Amino acid sequence: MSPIPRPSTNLFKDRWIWRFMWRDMRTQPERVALLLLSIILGIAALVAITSFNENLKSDLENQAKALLAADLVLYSSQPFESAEVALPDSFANPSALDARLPSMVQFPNTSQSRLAQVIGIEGPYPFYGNFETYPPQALASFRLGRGALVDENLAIQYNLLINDSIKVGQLMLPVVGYVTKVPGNINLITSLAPSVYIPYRQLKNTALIQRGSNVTYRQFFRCIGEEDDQDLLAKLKPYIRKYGYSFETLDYRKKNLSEAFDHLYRYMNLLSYLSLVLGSIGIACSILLYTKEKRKRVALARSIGASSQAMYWVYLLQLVFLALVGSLMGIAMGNVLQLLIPLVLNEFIPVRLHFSISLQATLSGLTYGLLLTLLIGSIPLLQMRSIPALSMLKAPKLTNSWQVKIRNFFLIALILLCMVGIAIRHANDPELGLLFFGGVMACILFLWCLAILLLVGASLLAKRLKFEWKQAFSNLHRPNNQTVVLVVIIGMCAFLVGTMSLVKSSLLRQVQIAGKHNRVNLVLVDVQPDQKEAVLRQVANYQLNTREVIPVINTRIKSIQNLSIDAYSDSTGVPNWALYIDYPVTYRSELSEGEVIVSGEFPKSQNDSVFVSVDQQLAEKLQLHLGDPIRFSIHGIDLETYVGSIRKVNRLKLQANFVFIFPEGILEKSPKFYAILIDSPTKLKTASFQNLISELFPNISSIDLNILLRSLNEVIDKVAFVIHFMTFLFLCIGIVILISSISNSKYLRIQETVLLRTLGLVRKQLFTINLIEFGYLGFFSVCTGFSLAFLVSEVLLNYLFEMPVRPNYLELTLFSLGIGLLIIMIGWWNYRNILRVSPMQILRKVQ
Amino acid sequence: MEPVLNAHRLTKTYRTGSESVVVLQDVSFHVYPGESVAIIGASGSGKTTLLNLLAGLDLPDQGEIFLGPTQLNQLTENDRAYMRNRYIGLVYQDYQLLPHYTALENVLFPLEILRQTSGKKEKAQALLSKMGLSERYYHYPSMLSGGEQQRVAIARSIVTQPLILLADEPTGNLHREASDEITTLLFEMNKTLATPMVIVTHQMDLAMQCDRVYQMARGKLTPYIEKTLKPS
Repeated sequence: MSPIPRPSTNLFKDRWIWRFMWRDMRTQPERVALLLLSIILGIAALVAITSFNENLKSDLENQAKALLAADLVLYSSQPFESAEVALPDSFANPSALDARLPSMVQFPNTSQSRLAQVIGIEGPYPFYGNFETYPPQALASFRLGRGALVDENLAIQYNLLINDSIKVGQLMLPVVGYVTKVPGNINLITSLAPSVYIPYRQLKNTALIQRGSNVTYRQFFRCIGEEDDQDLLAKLKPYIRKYGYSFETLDYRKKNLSEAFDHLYRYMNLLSYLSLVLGSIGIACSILLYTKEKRKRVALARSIGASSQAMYWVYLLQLVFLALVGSLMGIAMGNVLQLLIPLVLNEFIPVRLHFSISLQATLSGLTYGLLLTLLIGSIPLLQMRSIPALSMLKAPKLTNSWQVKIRNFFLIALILLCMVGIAIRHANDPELGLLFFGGVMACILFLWCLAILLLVGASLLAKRLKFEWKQAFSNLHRPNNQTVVLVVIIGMCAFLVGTMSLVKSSLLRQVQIAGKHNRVNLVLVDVQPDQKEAVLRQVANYQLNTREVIPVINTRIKSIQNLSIDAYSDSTGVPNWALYIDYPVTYRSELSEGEVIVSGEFPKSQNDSVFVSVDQQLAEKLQLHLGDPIRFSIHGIDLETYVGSIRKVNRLKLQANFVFIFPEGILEKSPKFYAILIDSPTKLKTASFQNLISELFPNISSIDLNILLRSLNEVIDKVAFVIHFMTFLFLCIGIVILISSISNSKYLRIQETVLLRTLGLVRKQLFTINLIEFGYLGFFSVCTGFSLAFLVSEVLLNYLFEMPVRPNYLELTLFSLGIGLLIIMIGWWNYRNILRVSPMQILRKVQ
Repeated sequence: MEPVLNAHRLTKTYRTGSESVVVLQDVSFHVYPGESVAIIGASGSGKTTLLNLLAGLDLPDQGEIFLGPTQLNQLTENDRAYMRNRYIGLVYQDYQLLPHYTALENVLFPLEILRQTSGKKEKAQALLSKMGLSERYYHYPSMLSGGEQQRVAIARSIVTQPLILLADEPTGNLHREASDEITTLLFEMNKTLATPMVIVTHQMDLAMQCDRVYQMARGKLTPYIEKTLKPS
């Protein structure tokens, strides 16, 4: 007899390994489902968001031309067609014009009025992208000058039918159609500030454009022949320099778009990364439960003669198979979710989003799914190799040797390293990736520590409580209960929902308080000097209170530090647009509430020099320092000034904020308009006064701050929806872990129940114990999550807005109750069979 | 005649915290070809521990176990697993069948691990038929009675024609009728296949059917009844 050497394991020769793997997996579909669900949920969010980001990037890239509507656009505050700035006839590139200004628009049919963006269009605008109307032929009628086009939203809101009249300033026009799509429009902006399109040549008939009016003129150019936008820019550069136009080319637009959407990508990436981390915790719990239940089977197979390698292969193959299937299902679900994201974010995005399966997202999902599942699974899998055959007969005392401890330490380090790698790859920036990883880990660590503290506190408290409470609290410490993991996962959901709720309620509350304090709820802008007295008389007649009358002068920057704005932009890298835009300024001798001087003096006077005060944010953006000379152009007249002070502005105060404030005695005689802040007691009075003003003074725009508040609420709600959607996914992971934990401790629970019932406890008491246990689990989780939410919101709100946290207690309570109820329901659902039957039945069943 | 199994001065101690419990103390034991040996004793006397050591499921603190010429306690865990697969048949009180395999697949399992390619299915079916389970090939353990499960376990234990069969309370979980059936079956196998058999039991009527009976008490193994004396 010579049994040694024995043949080594061979996957081709030992076909039983494959069969064992397959048959073993099929015996516990519920465990397989839990593991699959964890993988699916972790991967689905990642794939959905990565695909969405990829598709959005490619859509923005592909539709950049359509967004710009031309190859190059010039911007000016003066009309382009005036004789002194017109381009020579030799300039052959096709061009189109538009001019836009905010104004009240009246709807005579319903006697209502609304602030809208009035846009005058001339020429073949847009050169790229579609200008879609309903009915389709309405655009042709509009181009022939037969009437106005209105945004679809506005038409629905004010019940405007085709051929109904609208009044823009002094001009009455029939509505020829509704605009359903305009290149580059963001739906959310359209719904907040809808547009009315009129023929450009009829703008003057509106009498809206007065001296100092806030009008932006744009001229659109298309390249001809072989030229590109840079050639076109070179051709136009002399005129741009001469007349101080700002401009935008395709490259600028692409760059600006990519910068603008960078925040969205980062935010979405952070959420998907968080879902991957939570999914990984879910995977770890499921694998732990899965492999634990296989130990006896491994021992049995080993007692019959299977080698440790063979059994390792059985479960490694199973894990690879499940990781593969889970990842593929996650990828499929991610692509379905990807279809839903645009439904939520469509309003924020200026392009039509196309659905496509992103190869990068698919490969990432597959790689991360396999990598994380196998890495996480490697710890219990390697432990499986050392399961002795004897453990089939009696549970061995599993004490890890120092070699095993070192191996596990390295494996955990490898998993964390992998998570760092994924974060860096995901954020596309090592620093940001590390910040992602650090932030998520810090949150988890905080929740973990708080969960332990709460549990310790509960057990100390339980000693003084009634039996049911004591028993319920001690159940939280039951082996394999995974209480802390559950508290962390559900706490993370509560943290996200809580932070969103706290930030939203604090912002809205601050605006409401500011509104109440200032008692300003209506703002009139574009009030011409000759209209000022008449308007104030009307305010008095209507028994409304005028809170403030602010003079506003439109200015442009001509030079900074004695450098032309082109030279300044080149030397400092300050973006072109920030230097070319119009700056509305005011003059006064006092700071308003919410303004604080951070450096310099206000007001400052020294000899004949003019010192202006600059908003801190813009000073940083424009790289301005105390004493820097700035030359302004005020309606064609240059004025040399110096930075006299830099001030911090609280933008959440409901007041007119200005980037530059001039001292008194300089601009009084410049062409200007006034902004009048009014306190109106009722909504009805506000609406009726708005109608009167737009009737009497068509050029004056009135802004109802209540509507603004409502719009702010709507915007935050839309952002909150995305967060809630992700929270739902996290909650699903939490539920998977909860079910794992209940299944994991089911045998112990049965034993406990038998013991308690044989000791004389009635069903009602057992039910109460369970109710307290699961209710407290929910309560602990929500408490930890909300604690972190309060901490983060406090830092966030203080740092960004300098405001305290103002919780919406009702919303937070409802969420806590919802989570608590959900956890109780899941707990009860999994436990109901044990409660329903007699101890004898349970004993027989167990045997 | 050389013994098939030779255990020499086995000692086994379990530690519970700071306490040590000596389960086996200087136990020597031999099994000769074709004979049946019973080990009886009270619960916790160490008889199952001895069987586990003989099967290579556990290792003694001191002493040697030889299966044929191979010193079992010097082998690695995997080598001992191979030995169990090839040369040792094991029968447990609670059957220990793979729940996800049918009766036939359970019997086939040791042959598959052995990489036996031809005739294995016929062999397994023949064994099951011999056990009176020809109608139960494709039934899962959960669909079989206790007696039937134990018959499948016996078929599995002898399918590789082991050198020795070790049974731990093989009738402990069965009612009288099934217990008698299993006892008859075990002794029939012992006689027809000439496979030596060690049975751990506390059922005296089963023990009394064996050639030799040992008693285990306080970690010591002492002869209880010896019907035939094997030459040393």
